[in-house]
Amino acid sequence: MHAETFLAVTRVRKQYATVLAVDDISFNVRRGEIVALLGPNGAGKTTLLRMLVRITHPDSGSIQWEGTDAPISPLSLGYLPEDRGLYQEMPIRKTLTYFARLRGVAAPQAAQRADEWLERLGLLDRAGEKLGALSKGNQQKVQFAAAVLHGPRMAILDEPFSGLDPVNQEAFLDIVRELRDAGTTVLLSAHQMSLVERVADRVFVMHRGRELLHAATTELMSGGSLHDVYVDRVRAADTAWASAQGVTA
Amino acid sequence: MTRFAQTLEVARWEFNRFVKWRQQFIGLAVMAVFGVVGGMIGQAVKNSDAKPATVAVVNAEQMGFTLPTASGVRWDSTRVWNEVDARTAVERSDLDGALIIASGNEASILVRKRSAWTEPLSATLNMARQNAAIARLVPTPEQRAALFAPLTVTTDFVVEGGAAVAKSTRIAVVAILGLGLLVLFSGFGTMFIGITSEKTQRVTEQIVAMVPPQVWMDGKILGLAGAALAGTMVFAVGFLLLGLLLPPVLGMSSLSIPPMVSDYGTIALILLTTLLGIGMWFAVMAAIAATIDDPNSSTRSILLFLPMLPSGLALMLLPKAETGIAQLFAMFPLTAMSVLPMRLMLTSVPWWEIAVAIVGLVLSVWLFRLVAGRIFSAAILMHGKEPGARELWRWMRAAG
Repeated sequence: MHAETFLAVTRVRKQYATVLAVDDISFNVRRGEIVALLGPNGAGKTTLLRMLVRITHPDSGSIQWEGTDAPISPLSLGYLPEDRGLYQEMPIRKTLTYFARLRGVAAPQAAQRADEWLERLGLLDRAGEKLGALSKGNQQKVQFAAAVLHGPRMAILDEPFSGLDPVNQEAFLDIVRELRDAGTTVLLSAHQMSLVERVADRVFVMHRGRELLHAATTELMSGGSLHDVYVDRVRAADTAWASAQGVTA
Repeated sequence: MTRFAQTLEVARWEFNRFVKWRQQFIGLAVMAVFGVVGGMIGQAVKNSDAKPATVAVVNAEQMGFTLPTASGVRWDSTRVWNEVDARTAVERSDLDGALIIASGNEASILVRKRSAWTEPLSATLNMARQNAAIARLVPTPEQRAALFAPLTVTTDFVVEGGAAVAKSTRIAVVAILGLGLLVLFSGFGTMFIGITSEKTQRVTEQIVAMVPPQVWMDGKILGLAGAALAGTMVFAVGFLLLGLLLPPVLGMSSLSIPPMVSDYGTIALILLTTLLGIGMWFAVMAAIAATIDDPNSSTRSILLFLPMLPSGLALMLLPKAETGIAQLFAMFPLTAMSVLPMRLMLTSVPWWEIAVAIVGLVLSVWLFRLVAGRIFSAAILMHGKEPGARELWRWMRAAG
């Protein structure tokens, strides 16, 4: 194992009824890097991320944090789930403060950090409003803040850019970089290749629950844009799978 | 942050989600307005009874006693009535009714249609006839007092602690039981919404990445039970204050406050049983709510009315509080909250029965909160079909 390895996933497998969601996946994430988890819809990315935050558990294989089998404290993780949602009837500042408190931040600091993040996201003047009063994009900003305002050692972000306008996508990109610069390791899943290629140090592509590609972003882009490389590889994998299944185009 | 601190944080959040003090006080104000309006209507109804029915008496001389003063009735003394004239007058509504005396033992009341004053008048006439009969016997004041003196019956207890519960204690017990049930039923909705709403609002995944499912469930049970208790207490105190303050303003008699309770031990036991019962039922409801995917279509919602069963059982056992079956249900955790207080109030309860009931309730609170946590833990990502009994059992074993 690499000396700087923060997370090591080894031969992890997860099956739901008849669906093999994750099949023999292994990869490492080094401390302080940004790794992008890519793959078509239904590739198993969300299941893999849920196993990392212990919402669900692997049928086999191991997940090691900093070289040990002991689970990492939930307080060290920041998680932005794919299923977006917050308490619609509760005020924004109170919600953020609550989430920070649950992650062990003392009450005065929790309120202070909530305000700092709201200011950063341009929502401080609406801190007392109910979440339901915000637009979908602004709610996503609040949810992003809720995932990272406690200063996690690792941020696991499931499709952080989806549903955002280009300006806010850029803002989120900056925040992800800042998290990395502050020492936070980031693992994110996304479909926006143009954003991923600008922020990710490495890319891990899943296809039908299995590893399709794992390489440094710069290495992949030597053959063209990340988008082109990704589409070519996924199409080739689809064709190979269809052929193996005896399906003709 | 410790699990306990997280539990308290979740409880505080859930409490604040559902206790809206402003709305509580608006509710009280609305109740006060309804109280004033209701009181005024009551007074108006009372005053509207001021016009008595005019009733003629036919053959009054055959009655054998003086016409008594009857509530809601004014005897017509404008003339001496015969039966034919009285009937005609009643038919033409010149009179509200006529009392026709057939003999000293028989009379009839003639009215156009059923009237509220006829039955009280019959009772008044009977009482007057009995008094007249007694008066004819010419009893001395002592004999008269002896005739109407009630038999004084006292109960002595040979078993220590077997004394009957004082009236004030009974009132306090009924109040605690009533408020306990009110807490349960008012808590149904909040518990139901509190657990299923995160699924519909898609908050669950984010929360369980922060705190263990058991911590979240414990916090919810604590916070939502607290919210229901707070809401009920505001209602009870408000009701009491309105009952004390409004009647004098409306010119009515005030709510009477019973004397201070004397049996503090019984009150404390019943309070403890009620609080444990509330905790247990909230844990049961949490377990049920955790299995519900979509509250709009789930048929399991009806199960949230389960706590009505022990209350009904306690009512059924009320006349049989000393039977073996009542004792059994007093110790059974699911019914102890209702049946044990009833037995404590009505009969002597051995110490071991109380101990078994309390221990059973404590263990049940512990067990049901674990069950709720395990079901919730397995059901976090459940969507679509709700789990059956077999699947629930498998989940609980897997979570263990």
